[in-house]
Amino acid sequence: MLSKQEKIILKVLGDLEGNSTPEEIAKLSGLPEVAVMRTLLYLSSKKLVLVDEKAIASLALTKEGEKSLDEGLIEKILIKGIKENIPLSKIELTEEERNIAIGIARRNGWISIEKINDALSFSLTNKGIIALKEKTLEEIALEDIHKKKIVNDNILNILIKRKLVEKKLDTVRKVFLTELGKTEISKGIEITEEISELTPEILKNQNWRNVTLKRFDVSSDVKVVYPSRKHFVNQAIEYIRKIWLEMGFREMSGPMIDTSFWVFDALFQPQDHPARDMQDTFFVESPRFGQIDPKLSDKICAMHEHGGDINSKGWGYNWDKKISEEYVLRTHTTSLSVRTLSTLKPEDLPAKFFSVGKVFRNEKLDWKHLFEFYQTDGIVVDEDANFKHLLGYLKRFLNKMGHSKIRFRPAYFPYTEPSIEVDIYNKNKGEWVELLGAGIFRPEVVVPLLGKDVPVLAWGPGFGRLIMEYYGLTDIRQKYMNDLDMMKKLPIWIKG
Amino acid sequence: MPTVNFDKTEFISLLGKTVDDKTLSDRISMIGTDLEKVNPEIVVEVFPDRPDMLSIEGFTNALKGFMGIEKGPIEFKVHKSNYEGTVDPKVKSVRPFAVGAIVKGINFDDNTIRSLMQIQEKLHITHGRNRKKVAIGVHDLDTIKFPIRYTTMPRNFSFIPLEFDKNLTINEILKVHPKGIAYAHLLDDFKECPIWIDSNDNVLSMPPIINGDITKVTGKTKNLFIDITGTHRKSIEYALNIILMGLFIRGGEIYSFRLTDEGKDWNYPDFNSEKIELDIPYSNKILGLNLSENETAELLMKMRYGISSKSKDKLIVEIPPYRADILHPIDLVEDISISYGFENFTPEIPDIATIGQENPIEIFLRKIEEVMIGFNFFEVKNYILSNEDVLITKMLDNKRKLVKTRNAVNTEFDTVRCSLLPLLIKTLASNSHYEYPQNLFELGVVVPDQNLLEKQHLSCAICHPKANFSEIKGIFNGLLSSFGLMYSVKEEEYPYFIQGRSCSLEIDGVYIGKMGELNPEVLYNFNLEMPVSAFEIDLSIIFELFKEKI
Repeated sequence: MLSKQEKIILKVLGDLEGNSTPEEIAKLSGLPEVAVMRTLLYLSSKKLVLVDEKAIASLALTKEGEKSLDEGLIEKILIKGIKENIPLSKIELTEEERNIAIGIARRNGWISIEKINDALSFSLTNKGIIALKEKTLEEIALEDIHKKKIVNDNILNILIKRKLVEKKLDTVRKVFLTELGKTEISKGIEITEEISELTPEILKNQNWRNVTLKRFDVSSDVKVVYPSRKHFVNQAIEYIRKIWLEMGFREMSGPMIDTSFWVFDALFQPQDHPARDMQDTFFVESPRFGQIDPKLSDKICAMHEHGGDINSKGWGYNWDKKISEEYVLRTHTTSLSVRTLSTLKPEDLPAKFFSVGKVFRNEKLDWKHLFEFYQTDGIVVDEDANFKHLLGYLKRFLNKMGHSKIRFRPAYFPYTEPSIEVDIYNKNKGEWVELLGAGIFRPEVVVPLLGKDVPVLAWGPGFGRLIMEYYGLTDIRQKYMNDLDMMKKLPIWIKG
Repeated sequence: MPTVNFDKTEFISLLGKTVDDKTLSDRISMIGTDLEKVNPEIVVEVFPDRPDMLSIEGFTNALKGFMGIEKGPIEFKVHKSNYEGTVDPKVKSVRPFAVGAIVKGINFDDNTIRSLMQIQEKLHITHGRNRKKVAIGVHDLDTIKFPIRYTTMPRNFSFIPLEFDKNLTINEILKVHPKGIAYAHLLDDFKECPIWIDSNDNVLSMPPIINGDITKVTGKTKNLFIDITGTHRKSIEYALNIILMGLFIRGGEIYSFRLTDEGKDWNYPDFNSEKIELDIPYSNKILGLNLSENETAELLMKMRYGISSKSKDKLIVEIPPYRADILHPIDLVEDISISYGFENFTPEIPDIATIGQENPIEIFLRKIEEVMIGFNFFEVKNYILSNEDVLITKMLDNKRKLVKTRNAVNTEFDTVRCSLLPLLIKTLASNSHYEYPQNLFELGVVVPDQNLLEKQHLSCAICHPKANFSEIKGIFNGLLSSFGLMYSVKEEEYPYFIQGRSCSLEIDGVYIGKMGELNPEVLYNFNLEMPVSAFEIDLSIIFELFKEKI
């Protein structure tokens, strides 16, 4: 299909027997030159016409050159002024032009300069007087160039240097009809009306039958439309949840603001443990204290002080109930794991639970640190669970998270024994990177909550790094900056 | 966790075996410390349960066992002597516990001094909780006239402290001495301060602040007296044993020191190993192994335990006197697993059937999310912590009791959010240079007041030149009809909505939230020059209606 403009141009070309220029076509068709050029490109891409381009060099006077042609060269203006005894400052030249003109006139030997009473006095020499009557070589050359005549190279270079003349490259195009184009014309060209938008009216009155819909340039850039979507962190969380669910874990939930009892004491963290310091944990201003089931609190107290009624020594200090009642923003979601343990009955076992939730650390916000972030925790409560199973679950869990090369290393957490640090291998850096902590809950944790010593396998991976790497973020604060433009342009989370 | 630096040449010499870097870094990682590097010096983070590994002697002692260079416990030797001291009951209300020990024949080369200073400093920081729980003083034994006394002195009592050349009173020390300034808070509550003093009335130390100048250790010192005081007897005993282990490995001869305290005679050091019974089937069950008593005993000896008796199912295990972390047989089980080697366990997945299940509320929230995205709303996520200026002041909202934290490092984030709407407005303001419309929603936890009840809220805001009440109402209507719900509105004024353009929202007569056009004053406060209409609802009520169906 040919557009209306293409048809018009083909027609003009046909009338000119297939040989023309864009300028001529524009004149004859009445189309703007730009439109002609664009349409010729379409036609040539369809091999209907051939556009032959040649670059031709030419000389042209600059603005200064034109002025010199009209008013004379500046050195001529200067000596004319001197002859007529016009004070230098009154001669119609700018200061810069005057200085250049004086230089040229001196070099040509047109003027002599004397110092009289500390002032310079200019007068014309004989050569100068003669020069006034004759045209200089430069003036002759300027006129020649104006008349498109050929000039001597030496003079030309001087004029170019004086910025009176410049060289230009002109593109000259010629247009020819190809054989294909001639055939097309011979089939007959009918020019119909073209419209750009199809409207309901046109559909209704069926006028579309009489018009041509204008061709669009489908390769041109358009404004991108981005879809709405879930927050990218939520997309990652959904993936983490799926991993747990596929492994048969049940979700547990619980408070974000909790007593120190559940966050620390029930996990057998001694009350002078550095993790409980003000600088790491957010304490609530009001209400400061919450309530704890006194029976449970007694059991935890006994465990801390002397190991309760199991064969543990405990920490051997005086446990303070008041300290355990203090409200904090939970520093880990392991508080939910121990809360869950305290609700289990023997018939509920074996059982597997997970949680995903925000945790809080009182840290200065910077590109590497957030004061709140997501953590996920899982526990397996099973009479027959053992250390090898823990490694097995961890391996499968991490494989699902996309890590194939992993390493288990001894570690320390106050509430697990044995404790494991899991490293993943970073191929780019060529080194092991810590990913998560894991372990089997100590009897001191399990017995007061569950009533007996059952192995509880536990692990709590962070997945912040996974999110950063997936989306290519470099500053951790980008996660909650809510920059709409950045979020729109992020790719969708595809792991699943 | 404390980081310690060990000189590599000395480390290898104490280890008694040349090892290449690769083996060294592998073994150090697998014994249970965080290795940072092995070159040019060895830098490790020691876990807080192993203060005995904070010294180069203690670290290499453990590693020698783990690498099979030596096994079983160190055979400590203590010479009997007549060194004596007493503890004055007056200290019981200030800094109640003290221990001491004598070490002779030390060759004080640079390595020994550096090591002694490093272990003292590291124990102070970690095990000693910055000297509060444990404080250590080291003295030239030959400057002390025994018997000595641990007592308290009034604050005008004076002596020459270390690094000074004149007498200062206790109060002056606490005000002008660098160590006094640093640790004065530990004595704030007390009229009298703890003092170790000898029979010539010379002051050995004022724990936990500073030693006396007279007992200062110099290049010529050969014999040492070590004093340790603190708030927890077991902790100071472990600290003493850890320091003595290092000096003993260096060739020091340990002499007994008798301290009369609480009407009893205490002989220090106490190197008698505590014995714990280990049930081998228990250990095997936890680890999923099938180790014999001999294999188990060997693994424990590699971790420098002693075995005093062995039977088919039981071991009597001797705990080295410097191991502060053995509370329960499970701690032995862990050491068996480390000794066995984490890399030698085969991961297994047990065949137990459990059913995965999400919390219904999470499923419900996801449905809400889907519907909002269907409206072409963009989801944003703000921090749970915010501040009063954003939550209340800028919103012109009535003062109410927010949940604040006591000690936030970032003052801009010191209050738990009570509502999502202010955060949405703040988000819109920070995106005002991007194109409109900007239609946003956020789902998340808020804590409305000091009852600390955590609620799941949804807030939605439309923001563009023509955003108005009708449009947001249409969207709210559409949202509820997606769940097949009817609602009613009640005219209601809110300071942050334009008067006459806001309402409360109810389902079956129960309040669930509010909706309106944002007051221009609020938009001005947030520096947003674009109309906003919004609603915020408590989803927990709607969720209750659906709970059974999810």
